[in-house]
Amino acid sequence: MSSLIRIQTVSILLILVALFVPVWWSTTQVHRAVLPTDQIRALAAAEAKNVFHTRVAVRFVSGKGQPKAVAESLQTHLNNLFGGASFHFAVRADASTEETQSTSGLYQLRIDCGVKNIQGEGSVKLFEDRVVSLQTPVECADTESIVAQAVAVVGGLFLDERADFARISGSSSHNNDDIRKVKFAPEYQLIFNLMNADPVNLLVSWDIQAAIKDYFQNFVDAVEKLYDFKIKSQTKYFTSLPIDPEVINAGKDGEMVYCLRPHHLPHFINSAEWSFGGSVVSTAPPLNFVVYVPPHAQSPLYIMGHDHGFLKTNSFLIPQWGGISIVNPPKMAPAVAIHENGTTLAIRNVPPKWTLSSSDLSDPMHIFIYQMREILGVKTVGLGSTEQLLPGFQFNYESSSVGITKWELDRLARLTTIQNIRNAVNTLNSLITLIESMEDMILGSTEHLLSS
Amino acid sequence: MNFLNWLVLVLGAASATNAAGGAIRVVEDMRGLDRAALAADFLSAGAGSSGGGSGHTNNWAVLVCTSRFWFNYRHIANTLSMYRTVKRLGIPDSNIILMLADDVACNPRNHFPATVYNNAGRYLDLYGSNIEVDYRGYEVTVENFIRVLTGRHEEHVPRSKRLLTDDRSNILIFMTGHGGKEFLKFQDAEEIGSHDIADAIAQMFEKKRYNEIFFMIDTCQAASLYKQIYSPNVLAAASSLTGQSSYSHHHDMEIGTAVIDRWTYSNLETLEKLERQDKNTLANLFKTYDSSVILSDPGIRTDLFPRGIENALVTDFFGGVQTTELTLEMYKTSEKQKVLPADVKVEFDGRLSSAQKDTLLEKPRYKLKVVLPQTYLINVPFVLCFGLLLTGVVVAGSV
Amino acid sequence: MRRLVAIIIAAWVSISASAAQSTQHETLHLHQRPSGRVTAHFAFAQSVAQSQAHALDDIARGFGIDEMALSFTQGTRCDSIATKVGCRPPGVVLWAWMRNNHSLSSVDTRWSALTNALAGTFCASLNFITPENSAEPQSSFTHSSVNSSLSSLRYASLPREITCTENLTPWSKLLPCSTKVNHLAHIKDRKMKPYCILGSKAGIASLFNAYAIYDADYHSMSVEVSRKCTSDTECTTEIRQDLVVALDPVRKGYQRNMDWSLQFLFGKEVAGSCPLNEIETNILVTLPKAEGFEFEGKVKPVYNDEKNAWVYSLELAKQFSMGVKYSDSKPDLSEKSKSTELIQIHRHLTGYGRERGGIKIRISNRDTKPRTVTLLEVLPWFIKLYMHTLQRTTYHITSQEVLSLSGEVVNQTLKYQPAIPRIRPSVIELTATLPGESITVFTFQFDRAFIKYTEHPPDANRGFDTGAAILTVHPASRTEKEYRLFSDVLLIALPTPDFSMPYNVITMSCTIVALYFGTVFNLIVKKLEGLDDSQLKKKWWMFWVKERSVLGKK
Repeated sequence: MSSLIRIQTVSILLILVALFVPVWWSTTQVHRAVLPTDQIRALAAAEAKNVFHTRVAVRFVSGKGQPKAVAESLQTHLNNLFGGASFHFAVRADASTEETQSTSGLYQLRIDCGVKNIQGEGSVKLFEDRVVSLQTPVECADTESIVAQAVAVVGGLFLDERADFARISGSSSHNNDDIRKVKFAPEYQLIFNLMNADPVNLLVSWDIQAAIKDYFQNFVDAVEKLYDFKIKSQTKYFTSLPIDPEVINAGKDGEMVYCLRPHHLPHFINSAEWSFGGSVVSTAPPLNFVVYVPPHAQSPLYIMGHDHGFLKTNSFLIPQWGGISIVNPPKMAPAVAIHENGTTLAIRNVPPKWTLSSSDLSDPMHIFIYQMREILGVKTVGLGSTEQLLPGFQFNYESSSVGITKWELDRLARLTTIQNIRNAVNTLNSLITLIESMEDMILGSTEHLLSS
Repeated sequence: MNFLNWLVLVLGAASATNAAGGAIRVVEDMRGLDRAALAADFLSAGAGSSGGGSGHTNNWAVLVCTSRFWFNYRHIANTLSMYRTVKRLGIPDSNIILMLADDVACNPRNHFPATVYNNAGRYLDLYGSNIEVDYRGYEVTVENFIRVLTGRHEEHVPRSKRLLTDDRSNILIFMTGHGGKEFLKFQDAEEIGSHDIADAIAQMFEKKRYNEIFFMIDTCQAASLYKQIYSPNVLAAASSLTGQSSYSHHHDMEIGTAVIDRWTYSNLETLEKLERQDKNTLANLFKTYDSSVILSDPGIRTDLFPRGIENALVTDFFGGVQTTELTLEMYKTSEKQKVLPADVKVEFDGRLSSAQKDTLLEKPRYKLKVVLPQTYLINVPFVLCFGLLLTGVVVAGSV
Repeated sequence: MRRLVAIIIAAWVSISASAAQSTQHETLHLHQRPSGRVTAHFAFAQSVAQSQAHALDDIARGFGIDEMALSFTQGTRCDSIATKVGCRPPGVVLWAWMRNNHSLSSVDTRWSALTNALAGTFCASLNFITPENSAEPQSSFTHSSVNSSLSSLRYASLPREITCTENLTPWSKLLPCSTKVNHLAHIKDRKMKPYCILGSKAGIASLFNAYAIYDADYHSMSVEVSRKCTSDTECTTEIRQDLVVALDPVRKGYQRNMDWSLQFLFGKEVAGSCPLNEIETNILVTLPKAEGFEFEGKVKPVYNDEKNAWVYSLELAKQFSMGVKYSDSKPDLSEKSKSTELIQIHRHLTGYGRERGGIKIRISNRDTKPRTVTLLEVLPWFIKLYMHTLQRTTYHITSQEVLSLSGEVVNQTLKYQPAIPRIRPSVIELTATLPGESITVFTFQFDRAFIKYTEHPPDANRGFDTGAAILTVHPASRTEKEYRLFSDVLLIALPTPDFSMPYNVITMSCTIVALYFGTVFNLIVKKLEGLDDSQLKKKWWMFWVKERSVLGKK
């Protein structure tokens, strides 16, 4: 073979190899779409700059004093105190003597100066609808000390919120509150269950619609901006406990009383038989509240507390699941049903019926509201730090007629926001880490992802 | 970038005919190195909250039987025995994902309809009356299994088929079927590899879907399946080591097949004695394994489990945790009464210290950089060697 | 006396006060045929009010369902006379009428979501129902109560779906009076055989025993949901659940005779009536003989002429058991035991081999007058049928002479939806009038498709099941109602590749060895020589070869 032909042959082969191997390589690569990795990584740093802009309106009740000066000074001091982290305050003076509507993010500070109470000190009262009132013995002209006390009150209110934010952003150590609180979801299924353990001897029904309307609906309406609750009810029959309660010879006439000790309670829910699945149609997480009516053979049934006394509420809470309240039935005589069968009257045994009316359900409903607050993570707003700074002052708190005060609602909204932002940033970052680690994984079209 | 890496590796390796095998070996060593270093990082990160208590608030179980056909009755019996155990010890049906690849209870070949026994004496019907099978028959596929673990389902999948865990959930994963070196056969049609399992668990870790996982596997060469896991807080136990087979225990003449496997039977002998509040540890459970009875050496992997098997209770994984809190008061909405708030006291120091400011910024916790070899049908170094060989032969032949 | 009056007054009051709740009603009908087989039909009816949480009510409301029927069946020996709901084909059959404009999602999306939700509720693989095997019949389910301009109908069946205890458990949890006896917690002695596991504490559902039900010749569990709206917001959901079990005392016992009792068939007794029922719970017993038997048990039944059955009433909190003992208890296995339905349908495959085949459907009309029927066939896409081969022949039922059809008898319409592979099935709806006392035979031919190897199920050599054909018999007069008959399920074997491991390993290894080793061996052993152009015979396509002289000089 001549050398020219040899060179030609070999070079053609080499050229082919050099051409086609890269083509093959590039066409068999795993398709990975481009992701905004840097932006996502930068989100974590941007998180610290989340600041809630809060407005405070200062009003002097008596009309004396200098609201403008107080407002300016208060704003300066508060922003210094918080240092621009988590909260930024805009304080203005409210010269009018009328009450203004309370809206989210606008808080009112009512100062009543020159008023002494019995002990000679002032008092602070936290009202339900975003108003805090400060009654101080200091004279109205003494702007500095009024401002100092106002800083203690308003600053104290928001300081422990900030501590909560820091705790969330910090390490993931969990305390009891986090274990009890259910994860945030914009929609929940709220299911009220009536457990009738022995319908053969007592058939229980309840007017739950009226009870919800009377007691619960206001709560649901109050938090509707945060959560959407779909409320349903159901009755379950033949729900016997998987555990046997203890028998105690209590009561005046030596009557038998049944009780459940705290270590029995984790086994109360008979998960093999009672299905609390919630709706199959929606993926909203379910929250269950149970009214349990024990059978005659096991009533009256009480829950014993840690101090060996019976609980007045006769209820307990299962974290992240719901609450259970035991309602003891009255003793009822057996009944019969009669119906006409042509010319004869046919008599048959029917179980006696007991209907729980709305007023019968008021105690369980109030207990459920309390348990609902625990499960949603509603924290009572307190002035703990203020109490340290203003010794001798009296502190009063007004409770809500719907189940949650506006202060608590605002605090819950802010806390939930911070938590959700944190979760979202964490999830995105971990996804990016995961994607970077698995170089073989195909990343399809991300158009719909990037647009959201 | 990777292309050149591979080129360097290959040309630096042994002779051309050995190149393919050599390259893979080198890659594996590299991976092992990376992993060990990474594992050390993880363990320090994950060890914080434990130290005795596991810190979990709920328990889940994923029980998978991957074999089909009547002669694999024992695999269904294995899975159902575990199902019965976890239910007995307290995990509710809503927290159990049960995947059975075939129906043996209502199979026309079953002499005892609607029953599954794991014992020739037929003491206990495992199927019972209260059973929920979430994935059955043709639905038990590798894809569905990985979807269950990672939580990435299609739109309309109902809640009962999803693993709704959070970062406080302890998960028991039990798999049984026919397997080999680093693979497990699903229904005689497809297989899952050990890398797939490891990647799925890594994804679970990223999305904070578990607190601790106990991965049990009863197949032949079972230990090869957990070899590639690299996420922290995973404890694995297998019925046999790589290179060994797992055996069935005994036959039932009327049913006509073997009814239980040896390693599962050995586990059950111990687990059946436990009650809900049992304080036995997993170390005790593992001590009961007797290789001469099981006829294979059970494998246990504890390097990713910093808490230690002496501190882990059996009920941490097999039992259900249900904490309750007594409700001591009610919220009276009808009366505007004085309500004393819970104690909230904060250090009033005026300013956020710089240390506190730092904790607000969360550093990414770790970086995963495991290099996986590209496993194509034709290996890159192989092709290169072939090309070089071809060229060399042509050149040599023309001389 | 006064006390009695007080009780009576209390009772009247209690009856009237319970009107506002959801209602519930149940009946058990035991029908024994001359061959000895006892068909037990448990019928439960309940209506769920607006605000109550019930899984089926949620589904009906969430997906805008007007009516829905779902059945899980196994077994083919169904006695259609003994069951009021009719015989169903093996597997799962689901059809639903869904509102067209509901929650902004299309009917098909909601159909997928519905099948998934039902799959989760009943622990069955109903999620395999996709548009690939769903049909929209036009003239088969001509319901009078659903407005077909506002709602669309979807129908699908999964003939291969098995029914077992995991389906019965959630189905019976939907009954209000039902809950399980929790044996798991109470078993201390492991040697004790748990006998009465499934069931409820009261009512006829306390007879449920999975070991008896799944040993039956035929069992069918069905749910029918319909929503009745009095106004836009006031809707109630009516739910009917039926369980039909055909048990055979002749096969079960050692005596091989027709005597039976509830304890013998189900292993349990009825634990009293369900306290939630407002009217009495009755157990109806129909026997093949009018005399020559006696009832066992403490309570004796009363014969009811209209229902043609002996009636027992259940009492609250009282255990109930009954049995029948015959004086001559030999079963009658002659022709009289066979079904004497007026209209029957049979379907079977014809042809041989894996390339093509045919389907033959035989409908017999024993009635003297002509009947109009609609035949619905939903065939999967891999059965590539040829519509031009569809033929109809009608014979007289006894003389076998071919009838020529004329007049109104010829009146038949055919609606045909051709299949699109992997997207939708073929749907044939054939409305025809069957002459009196005739047998009509429809035949057509099809080719079997060669599907991708990934589309074969793991047990590929079994074949594919096709769903039953539905024969809707339209009412002949005003008083009658339309009813449905289901044909047999066909098992069709498609050309199947060899999936066995040895075959695949050998073929792949041999291919690779041949390609690699062969090439390399050739390269090493053979010497490559460049071809001299002068020796080359130039062909028309060799454009690179220059013309050279023979001597090699230019």
